[in-house]
Amino acid sequence: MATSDDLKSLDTALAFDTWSTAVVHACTRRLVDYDAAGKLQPDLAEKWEIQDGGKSYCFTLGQGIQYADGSPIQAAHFVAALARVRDPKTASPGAAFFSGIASVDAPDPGTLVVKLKAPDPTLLNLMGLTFAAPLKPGQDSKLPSPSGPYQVEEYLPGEKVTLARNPHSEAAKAWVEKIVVQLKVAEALQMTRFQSGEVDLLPAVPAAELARLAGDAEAQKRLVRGVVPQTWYFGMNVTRAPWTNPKVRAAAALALDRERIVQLAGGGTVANGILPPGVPGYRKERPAPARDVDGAKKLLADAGFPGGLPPGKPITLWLASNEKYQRLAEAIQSDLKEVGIPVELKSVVLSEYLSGYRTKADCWFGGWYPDFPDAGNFLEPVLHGRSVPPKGSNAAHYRNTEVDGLLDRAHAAPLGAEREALYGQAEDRLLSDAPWAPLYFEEETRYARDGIQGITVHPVWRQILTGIRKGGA
Amino acid sequence: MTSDSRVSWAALLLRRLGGAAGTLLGVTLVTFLVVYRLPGDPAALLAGPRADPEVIANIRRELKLDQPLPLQYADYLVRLAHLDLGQSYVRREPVAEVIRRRLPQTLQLALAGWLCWLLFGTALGTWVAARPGRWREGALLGFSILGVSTPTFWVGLLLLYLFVTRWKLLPAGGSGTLRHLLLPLLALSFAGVAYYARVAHTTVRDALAQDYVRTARAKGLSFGSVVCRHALRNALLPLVTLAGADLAALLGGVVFTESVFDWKGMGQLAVESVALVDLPMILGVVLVSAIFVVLANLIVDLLYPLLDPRIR
Repeated sequence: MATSDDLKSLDTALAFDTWSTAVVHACTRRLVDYDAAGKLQPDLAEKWEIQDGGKSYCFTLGQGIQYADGSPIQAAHFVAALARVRDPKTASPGAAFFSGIASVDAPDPGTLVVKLKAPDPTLLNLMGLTFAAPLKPGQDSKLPSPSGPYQVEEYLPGEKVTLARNPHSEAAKAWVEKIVVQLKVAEALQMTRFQSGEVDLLPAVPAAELARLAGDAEAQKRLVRGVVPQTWYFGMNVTRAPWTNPKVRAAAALALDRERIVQLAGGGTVANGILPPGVPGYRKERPAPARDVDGAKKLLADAGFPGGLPPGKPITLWLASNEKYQRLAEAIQSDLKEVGIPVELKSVVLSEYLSGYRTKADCWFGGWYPDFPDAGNFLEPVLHGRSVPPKGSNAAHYRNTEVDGLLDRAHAAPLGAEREALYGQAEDRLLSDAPWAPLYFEEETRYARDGIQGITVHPVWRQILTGIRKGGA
Repeated sequence: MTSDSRVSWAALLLRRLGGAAGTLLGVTLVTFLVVYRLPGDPAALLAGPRADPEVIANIRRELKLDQPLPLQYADYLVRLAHLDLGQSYVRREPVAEVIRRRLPQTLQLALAGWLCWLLFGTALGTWVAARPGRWREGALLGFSILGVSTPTFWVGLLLLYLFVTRWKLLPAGGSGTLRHLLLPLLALSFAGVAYYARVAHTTVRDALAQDYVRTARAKGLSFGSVVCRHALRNALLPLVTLAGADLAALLGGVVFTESVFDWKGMGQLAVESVALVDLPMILGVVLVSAIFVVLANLIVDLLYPLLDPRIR
């Protein structure tokens, strides 16, 4: 398969971008993993008990589990992996996830005990992250310890990574012999390579090709689409004019033509809330907001701006420079202008965007996704009062004690209906206060040759290599 | 060559080598200053869109980005003196290792392209100059204009369409084998050959109009020998200057050709490193390219006295 993306690192403690994670995921197993529907299932752990009022988790490992070389996987290897991720020297992007852990112990090779500082029902989700894969003693940390269905055979950064079937993994016969992921392949070349037979699968179909395939019924059959838990939104910094006024924010949210934005994005679903599908608490039944120019103008008039915002200091909308983002930001700009909110676009390179949008932007076009399917994991980093920069990623600088209270209560609540209801209340409040105007939920596409099976858009992992099968196998 | 001229040639070599070292040091300083003023924080990019500022700060410390600029530069020079180009931020492997992997690809494409330009371009230009005629000169002019003004990436896409999609003769980009080299080489040569043919044509034609050519003809030398030994040799000087500068530029990587054909060379590496604000990698790539520029100029400088004894 060929992708235009690169992967940053195959070190289990560092892998965090889509492809690094997909490769590490395919090469490792963790205590738990997500099934095709995105539900957590036992994996290397056979079972677990939750004790001490939710502050202690005792995992029992399965029998006969082993690495690709046949050596046994032991509880101590999880202890080593977590210690490495949490060590500040590693500078792991996953370190913060595990900051709530008080201790990790392996009383015997088959038992792992994780003690928490405070009850946190998402610990199971954390143990499913690739960061928590077991670390084989003496293993070079540049590559994942091969506990999964595949192992890395060759990795040429920026060129390709080759995965080979792990003979010792259960059901190894079900997987293909080899998977080669060609990295950093120009979009224009991808379909050419598919057509010439050099690649069998395009894990992300370039937008230009999608448009070309639209009228081809045969091709449409080969196309796999799936909505992933990522929300694209228009964010407003509530401490900067004119967004200090909630009515102006609400007017902006009403002004946006989301249907057209989805069209321009080349796929996706109009966002009917902040939480995307796949995150527990997502409400399918909530109606998607419709564009209402008159309503938006009326709100602006109520806010004291009949006839639109007066000319003054320009309002800057930040975006990361990219052809697609530019198109979408221009659509936002023209929608807002129509109701009387003129904004200027500021397109900057990704690195500048990432270091600047939290503090320098009046408003911005952004996307957000959870690390694992949990509403708290989605909302807390971006809309909780304690995440306001410089400490966190709450670029809206939004502080609301009521919302914070709901998020905190939900965080400690056990998984299930009560927790989801609390997050639902917080989300409702956020939607009416409008620090964000959600636009659409991301959709991903794959394009595979006939006979290649098991191609999916996974609700949690997005890119997943482990399910791929070849003709009838 | 007399012993006297050998001494002055050695002095020239020494002088040029000293200048080259100074140039390279200057290049590192300027690149360092420019690169460290690039907008954007490499740590923020490394940490990813979801990272907390705390994680970003950790990474900054880890990469020593929190230290003052002069200290960072001194540190860089010390490492450079030990032939250590540092670690890539993004790939987390030694810069030298990545360049070692990419350089052969670039050398292959650049040298092959350069030879095509020089050989075919000069041959074509000389041939038309030696056998002038309305049809031939018109065709050469047309080819030159077309070659120089057609964007390489467009030629590349056209070649891909014809040879890969349509006729299924060659692989769709990538690097490694001779079959992979053909299309990028064709795309790269199109403009270069056109340009060199034009330059060679003009210089050889002018040389053929000179008195010494008439004298040589009058001596009874054959036309072919006059063209090759007299006219072409005199016409070579501007071509060598041009070729030296072009070789240096080519060795720095051919960005468009590389990206159209997914040729994993230095050009792609340079573009990618800048986009990712991978500071040590940018410094490494620029330094290596600068070494080529300096080397190519050095060679041209040293070739002059051999081609034209008047230059010392």
